[in-house]
Amino acid sequence: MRSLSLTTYYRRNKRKVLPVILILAFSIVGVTSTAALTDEIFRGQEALQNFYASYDTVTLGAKSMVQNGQPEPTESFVEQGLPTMPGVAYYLKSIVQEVRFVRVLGDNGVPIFSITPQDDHKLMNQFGWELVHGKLPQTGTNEIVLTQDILKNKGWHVGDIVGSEIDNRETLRGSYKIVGELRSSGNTTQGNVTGGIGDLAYEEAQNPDFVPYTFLIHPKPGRMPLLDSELSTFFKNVKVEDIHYSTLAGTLAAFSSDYNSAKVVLGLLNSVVVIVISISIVLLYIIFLMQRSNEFGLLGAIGYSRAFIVRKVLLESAMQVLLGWGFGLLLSQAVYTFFNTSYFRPHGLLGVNVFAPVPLLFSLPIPTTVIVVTTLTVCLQLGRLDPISIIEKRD
Amino acid sequence: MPSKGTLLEAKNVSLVYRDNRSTVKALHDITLQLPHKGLFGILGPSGSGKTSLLYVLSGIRQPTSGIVYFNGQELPSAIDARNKLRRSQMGFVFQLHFLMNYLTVYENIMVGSCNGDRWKTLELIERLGLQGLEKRFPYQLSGGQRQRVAIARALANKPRVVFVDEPTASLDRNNAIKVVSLLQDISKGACVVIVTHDPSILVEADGIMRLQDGAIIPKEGSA
Repeated sequence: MRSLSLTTYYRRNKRKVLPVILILAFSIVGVTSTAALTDEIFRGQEALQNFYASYDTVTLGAKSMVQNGQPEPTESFVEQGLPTMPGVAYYLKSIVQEVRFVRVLGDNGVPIFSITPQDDHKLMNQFGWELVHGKLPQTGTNEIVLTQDILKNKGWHVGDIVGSEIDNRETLRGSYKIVGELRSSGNTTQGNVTGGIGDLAYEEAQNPDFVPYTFLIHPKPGRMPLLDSELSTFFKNVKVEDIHYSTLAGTLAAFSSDYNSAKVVLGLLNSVVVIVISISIVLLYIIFLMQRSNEFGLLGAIGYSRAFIVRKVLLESAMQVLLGWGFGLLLSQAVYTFFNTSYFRPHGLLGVNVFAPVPLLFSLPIPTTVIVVTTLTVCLQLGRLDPISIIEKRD
Repeated sequence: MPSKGTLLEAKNVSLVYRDNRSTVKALHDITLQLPHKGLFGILGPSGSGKTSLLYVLSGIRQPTSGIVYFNGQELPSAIDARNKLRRSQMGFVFQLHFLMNYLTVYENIMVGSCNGDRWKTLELIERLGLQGLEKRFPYQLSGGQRQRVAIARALANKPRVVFVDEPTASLDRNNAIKVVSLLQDISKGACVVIVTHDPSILVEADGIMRLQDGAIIPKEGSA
């Protein structure tokens, strides 16, 4: 019936409906913001770790080591061992340095791979990088090329000289000239990869006593798990300080462990928020519900069934909660869009998005709790509704 | 068995309120018969059980003992069935109007309608002199106008019996006369049962029953 339609009460009682919707909406903005920020950080971290989908790494920590009671150079030990592993397709000899990448909470080290010019295109193809501006590093020079997100994040441009000699906070040792800009096509299976390329000969010259090579080992197609196990078998008896290796499985395990811990902490914090907000909304709702007791009493007295009244109130409250939730998501996205355009994107960061799975997931507990608690309250209150006690009121 | 030709009949109806501390006999062995049409009054002082009798006759309350028949059938004991019957066959005007403040006059009347019959509602608005007030809200009406809206709501389903509880209690003299006249008019097509402590509004009634301490006072001269 039109007079008792679900929207009539809302349209005519905006002062009672709006507070609930606004509290819900703002709480959604608050809760999803923390989730979206965490999500952005971890998605960013994921982009930095993406190269592990293409390469396992073996890094030399010392010039030589003791193997089977005999001293042995670490470099020749690795270079002789790698070709014997059935899972290895090819490997690149590199020296890896890091550039400090500024994030919303804390910084990340982004890898710059110094390799031979012959290996440049192999690495670029693997990561889906293309040179969009400038040139690739020439051999024997301090030239580097970087992906666009690093340039944006650091405010660097092609032609700039960068490094610890220029800025002592920088982790890139010495000074380097940026000669090119790389764009990540994102077409590779691992998605975007953040990083850069330098020249191996130049780095070797900077480290005359011991060259801390990192071998980028590419597996044969579909053989990454095999390669992981071959590496762990091969380096089983080698001390980590002599030779360190990282595998996709190990990196992902560490990453997902960090991520899961953060999600648990975030989940616990949000649970407290959810409980407090839900109680506030439900209490407010109960007050408004009790103010309508005359209406429910009358409907009961003139013959409307209790099921009709309960259904009407539940649908009204569900609609109110859904409106608040939807408005909260839109409001969040509006706020995020502002921050994405004004801060995240200009700094090469991925940006926040409320419709990403994690923030969206974190937006659900508040409306769900409110609907559940409201349903229980409504059923309890209206279940005890005694129309006679209401209609027996006298002037 | 119910008597033939009656719309509403109570047989030896008693109602007892019990709580932890006390027991109150609200109605005691009431027997009455009401025909299909006419204006009937239940008169008595405060606390005499008038309203309780109204609730029992309409099925809002179930009697502690005795039977109530409506149109030859015993009032169902299942609450949903009683609600359905009350909604479709009975109208109720409470002492307080209980209009919904967020609904217009038109919408408040429609609340009483089972099938949302728009034309019937507009006809009622005209019959009760509420033209021009359809889009107003209850807080924009006078006491008399609100009472007429409450009556219109009770009539929205074209009920066979209309129960009216103290219809003039909150009205001034002029409005009270208008409302009583309206109820007399309605009683030409339905059975109207009015509960009041004011005998002056029952001057034109087809029958009056006096209640005292939950029991019917026998008419003078009767056994």
